[in-house]
Amino acid sequence: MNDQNHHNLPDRDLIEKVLAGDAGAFGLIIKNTEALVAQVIYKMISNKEDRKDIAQEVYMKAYKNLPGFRFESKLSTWIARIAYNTCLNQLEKKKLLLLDDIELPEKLVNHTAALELDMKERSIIISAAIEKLPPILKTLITLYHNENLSYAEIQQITELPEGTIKSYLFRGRKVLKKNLLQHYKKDEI
Amino acid sequence: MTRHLSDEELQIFASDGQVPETGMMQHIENCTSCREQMAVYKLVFASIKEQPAVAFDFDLAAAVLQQLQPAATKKTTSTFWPVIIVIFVAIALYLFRKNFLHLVTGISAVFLLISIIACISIIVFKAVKMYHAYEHQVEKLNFSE
Repeated sequence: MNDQNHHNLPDRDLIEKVLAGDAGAFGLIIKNTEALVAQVIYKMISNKEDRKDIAQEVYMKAYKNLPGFRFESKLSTWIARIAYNTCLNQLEKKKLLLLDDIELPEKLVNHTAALELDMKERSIIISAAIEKLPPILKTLITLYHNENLSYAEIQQITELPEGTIKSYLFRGRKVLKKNLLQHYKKDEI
Repeated sequence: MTRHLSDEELQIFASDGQVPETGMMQHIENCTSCREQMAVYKLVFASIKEQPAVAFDFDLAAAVLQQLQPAATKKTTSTFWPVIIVIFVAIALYLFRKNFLHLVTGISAVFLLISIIACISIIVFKAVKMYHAYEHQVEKLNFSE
């Protein structure tokens, strides 16, 4: 079977191949899922070297636990959950704040001015604002807005209640909006 | 509707594409502030979507498969020694078969039964201990299915 056909194999077939001893099939599982895993790790971990180690650790854990996968979620979601938990452990080990209080700019400017910012400038401001968010908020925003995951899928990855996910998303978006407006205020001054 | 929309309502209508109820819709149409705030949220969401996707700057699959390879080799070598031991024991049994027969013929049935039960008990005890050790190791991986 060529590589292209392998790529199209459903999760179940790939897992069966890995369990039968086909390590190459696990390579394909990595290729199929690493984009989502990268999103989680990049948002949770800021150190480049740590990211590399964690990414490998995640897939080693996935490989060891693959016989226990019960198909209760998508394989990518299951591996993303391992990634999220591994990152949480790393952050707790390093005693980094997971959900530190976010200070919101108090006074806002008129919204029309912010609307007039060009797309590139806006994108840079939002990118910088996302980076400043606590790791969990950053991850939730990315999973919801960039990966287009449903609340249920995000819940499977993070094990957070749906209400908490919605509440964190709300807080995160509010901070991003205020950052955008605050940035404009600075320019105006 | 006279009150302004809350931030939460603005986010829902700007992000999830939900249609506001008639009263809210009328308010948005007449209220510049709410309309602008909603537009800003729409821009924020569009900007989030525009963020470039991240990717690992190394070949993750190759790095992981490389780590899995030694484990597979180790598995092959781990079967080597048991096979050698079995062969060695088989040769010893063959060479000393007459002596072993003398040993067994001299033992009473009760003693033989007790010995067999003791051996089985030790094997079961060791197996349970190994299983618990394995479970403990899996638990240490901090993973729950």
